[in-house]
Amino acid sequence: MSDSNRLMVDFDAVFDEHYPGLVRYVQRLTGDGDTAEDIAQEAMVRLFDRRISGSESGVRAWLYKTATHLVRDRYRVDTNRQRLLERHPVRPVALETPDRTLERDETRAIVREALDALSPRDKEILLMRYSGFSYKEIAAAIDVASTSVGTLLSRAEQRFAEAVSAGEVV
Amino acid sequence: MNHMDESTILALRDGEAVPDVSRDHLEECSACESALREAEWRAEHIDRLLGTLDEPGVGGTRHSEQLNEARARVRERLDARIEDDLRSRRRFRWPGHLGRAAAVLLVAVGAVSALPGLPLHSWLTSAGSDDRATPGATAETAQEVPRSGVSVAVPQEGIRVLVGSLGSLGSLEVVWIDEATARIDAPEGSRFTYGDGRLEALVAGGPVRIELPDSEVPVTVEVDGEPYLTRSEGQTDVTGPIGERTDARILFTTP
Repeated sequence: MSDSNRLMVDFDAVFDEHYPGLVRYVQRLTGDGDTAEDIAQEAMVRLFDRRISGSESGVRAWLYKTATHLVRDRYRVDTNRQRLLERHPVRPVALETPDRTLERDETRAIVREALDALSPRDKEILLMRYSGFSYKEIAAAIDVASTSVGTLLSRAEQRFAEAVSAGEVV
Repeated sequence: MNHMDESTILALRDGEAVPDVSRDHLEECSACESALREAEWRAEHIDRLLGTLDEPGVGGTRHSEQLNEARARVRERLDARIEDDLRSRRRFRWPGHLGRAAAVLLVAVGAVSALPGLPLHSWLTSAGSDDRATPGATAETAQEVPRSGVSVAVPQEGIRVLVGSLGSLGSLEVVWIDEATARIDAPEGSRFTYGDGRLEALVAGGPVRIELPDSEVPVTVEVDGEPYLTRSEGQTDVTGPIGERTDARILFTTP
């Protein structure tokens, strides 16, 4: 059976294959679990509603790109951004938390801050790479030449590492 | 050979294609080998750091129950979207106020023309207006023609859209969209096939609408073997019969 036929016939298989990774990607991108679920679901709905077909990697790139655009659109609205920031402030957790959890939450806050300090493109490249995308797939998803991905990724990693170091996570 | 640059080292680390000469160099150069190790360590470190952002239940650790709930929500939203689409297809094509104004005007014309003795009546009847519009006919003709279409994910290599027409198209619209998707729709009865970067449509008439990614991915649109539009290396050449062109779309008037 061709990929396109498989896509239309096997909703469950396509969903199971792509949804968890997509939620994780958007959650890392936004720092908001509810937003991640909502955007990942919207991307899946559009995939099936528009009967998108193609190779497996093409479909995956389409989904991540659509989700990335949905995130950009959502964050373009300042009021939404403000609401999200108020709902999910980046700060260390309360003192009564056990030490280990405290340490993990502090690390998470610093990583979140370091990610948010990157440009949207650096952030997307970094998160796609660490979601298992090949350079070619990243290129397709964010509209850059595949030959540029290595350079862009290198820069994004360095900026991220520097930002994390500034927050003193080792 | 000079030392490898950072992007080549990353490509090696990430299992991407690199020239053989780079691999050979790595065996001889301890500095580059050390740089590769450092890049590998950095990747592990970044992966671990990013992992701290994952909430329990997200991604690979999702419970099947949560996944089922999410799946059900996607199905619900999809059903609602399809229902909305069907509803909008049933609606008149004209915007509401224009449609209402047209209907009122045609009712008035129909009523006036039915009154014997008025100049308009004789003018209409002498013009042999057997086919003159009635409100019922207006509703019929204003009904949206059923359409069908297909969307495909556009590969990085690009896409060729080949349109073959069985009748006059009237117009063909190309719209640039902010997605890596190509979509074509045409009146119902049209047939579509996709493979090897070619989206082929045998359309039953017009109008035809084609959506293409607003990016630098190569695209070509041909109608009955004639090139209408070619985008390659960021350069767009339009060779079809342009009716109207803006940044967002190109409207071709076809024979």
